[in-house]
Amino acid sequence: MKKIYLIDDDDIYVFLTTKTILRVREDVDVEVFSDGLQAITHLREVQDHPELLPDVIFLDLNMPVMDGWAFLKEYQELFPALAKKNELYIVSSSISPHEMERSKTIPAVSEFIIKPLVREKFIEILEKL
Amino acid sequence: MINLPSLNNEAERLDALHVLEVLDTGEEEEFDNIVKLASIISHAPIAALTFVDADRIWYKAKLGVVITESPRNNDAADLYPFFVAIQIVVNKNLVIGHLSVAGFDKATLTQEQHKGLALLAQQVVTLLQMRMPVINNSIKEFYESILNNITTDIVVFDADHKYLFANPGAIRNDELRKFIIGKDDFEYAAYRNRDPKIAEARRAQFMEVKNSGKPLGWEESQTDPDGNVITFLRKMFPMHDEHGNFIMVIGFAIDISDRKNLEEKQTTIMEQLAMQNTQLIDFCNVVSHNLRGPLINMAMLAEFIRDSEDVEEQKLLVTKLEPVIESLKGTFNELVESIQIRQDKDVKSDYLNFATCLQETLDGLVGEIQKAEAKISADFADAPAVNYPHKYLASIFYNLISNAIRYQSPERKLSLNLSSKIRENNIILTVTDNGLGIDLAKHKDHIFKIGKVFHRHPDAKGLGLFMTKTQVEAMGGRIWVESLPDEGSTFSVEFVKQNRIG
Repeated sequence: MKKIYLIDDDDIYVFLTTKTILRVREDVDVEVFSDGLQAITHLREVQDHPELLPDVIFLDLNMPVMDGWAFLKEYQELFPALAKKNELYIVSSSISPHEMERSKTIPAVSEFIIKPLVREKFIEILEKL
Repeated sequence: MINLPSLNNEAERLDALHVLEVLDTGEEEEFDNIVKLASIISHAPIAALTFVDADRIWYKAKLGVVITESPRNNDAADLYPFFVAIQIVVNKNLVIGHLSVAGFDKATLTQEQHKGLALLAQQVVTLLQMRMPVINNSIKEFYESILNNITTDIVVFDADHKYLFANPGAIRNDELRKFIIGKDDFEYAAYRNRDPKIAEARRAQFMEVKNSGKPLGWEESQTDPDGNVITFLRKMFPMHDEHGNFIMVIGFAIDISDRKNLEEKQTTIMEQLAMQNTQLIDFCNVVSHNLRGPLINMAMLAEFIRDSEDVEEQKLLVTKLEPVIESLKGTFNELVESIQIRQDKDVKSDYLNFATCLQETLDGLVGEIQKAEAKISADFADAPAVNYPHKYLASIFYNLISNAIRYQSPERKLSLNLSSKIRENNIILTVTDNGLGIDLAKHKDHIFKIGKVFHRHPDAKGLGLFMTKTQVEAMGGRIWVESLPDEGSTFSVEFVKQNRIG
């Protein structure tokens, strides 16, 4: 069973992406967080429990309370303490070259994916695991 | 010592004499020695060096007489049986005085003795010229006309910070300019009944130049009687003699107001450009998140609907389309409106009563206010009215009040207080709530940006404050917020140039 964290405040997008993921693989557990703060708080709580930690994180950038960049800042600090390592992908509707460049400076980010997260891309990511 | 009623070029001659600044000076050994030599050469008991002023003959050095001056029409030549006077001539033909010898016995001088006296007379001129390097009137005039006509203000201080010189650029008034020579800034300030602060600052600058031996430069602004701000670039240079001793300071100032104004204009333009650039980035974000996001959702939904074979699922997906379309429409309308605000430079302002406009907004929000059980109070006594576009003021009230209702604390009933105050020519409207508040440390830079929301709230859209800011800034004002999380927020709006409102 693979575990995926979906950090995104757009309900409809979350609904559709979850649907896409579950259509591709049934042995996947999707946990949804509607902003960065909820996600980082949860990660801190389960940091010592590999069975609760994700294999993949899909992170949106534009969110209320704590946006994707603020989340990444705290995530970088937390990362060494996580009991299980994972891949992190930014999945954003942003087409700003500035934001893409900025994401390259953060080692924790595997790739910057422009929305939507299509079926083929998701299969590719899961195959890498 | 000699009567000279009709010397040639009287005016020019007097100018040349006065330039030398020898009249009424004290005894000097060099001149005393010349007079002694004249007496020895001519074997005369009496000798004198005299200068012919406008109405007197003044004695610089003398031997055998005690008088220090005599009228021009005296008859000295007739008093003594022996009397010879050699002219002191400057600028080729201007007679300014005499070197004379006299005795009580009749005598005549040999050619050699005459020659000796003539050489001594020349020596007097040489001595005078050494004391006063600018004997040549044309050179003095040349420098004076430069110093007097140059637009730069120039002053010279001695080693004790007393004025040696000030040109009309520095002090326009002739009397004041004469007054200041030999005095310092403190005396000048006292004489003119002025604050001695400037004198203190000047003294500190002078001491710095004197002690460091290095020039000092600074910019200084002051307001002229017409209220214009004038900026000067000031400099002080230390001057040293050939032995390295500090002797004086030259100070000058140039009016750089034009340059300053230009710089300020450039800064304003740069700020405007930076602001427009920020707005462009904001628009890029809006396109990315507020337009592209819903479009992607719509495309995905359409794909799912197409691929689904379950009618119930299709129906569910269609219901999900509606809010996406609504959100897209809302964003689109707000964007169009904000562009219109930016383009509409000539939007019409009206004389608006705060209380009336507030009531219109409250009437429009009556359902939400009742539901929230909000307590709203207003005090517009200090500034009851404003000159502003009605649509913008209504939008400010609407956005700030609906914002406060939306982000009220679940722990307490909303209490909302509005007030207006006069600040110089401007009016400040403040809206204070006791709601959720905003963590400014985290969100300060984003608060009025388009598409930014700070709360986990179903209604949070983040467009209202952006629109309000766009409108306020289009009218030249500002909007800002002070807030503490879980205590509440105070939004302030500045309405500029309201001085004509009664």
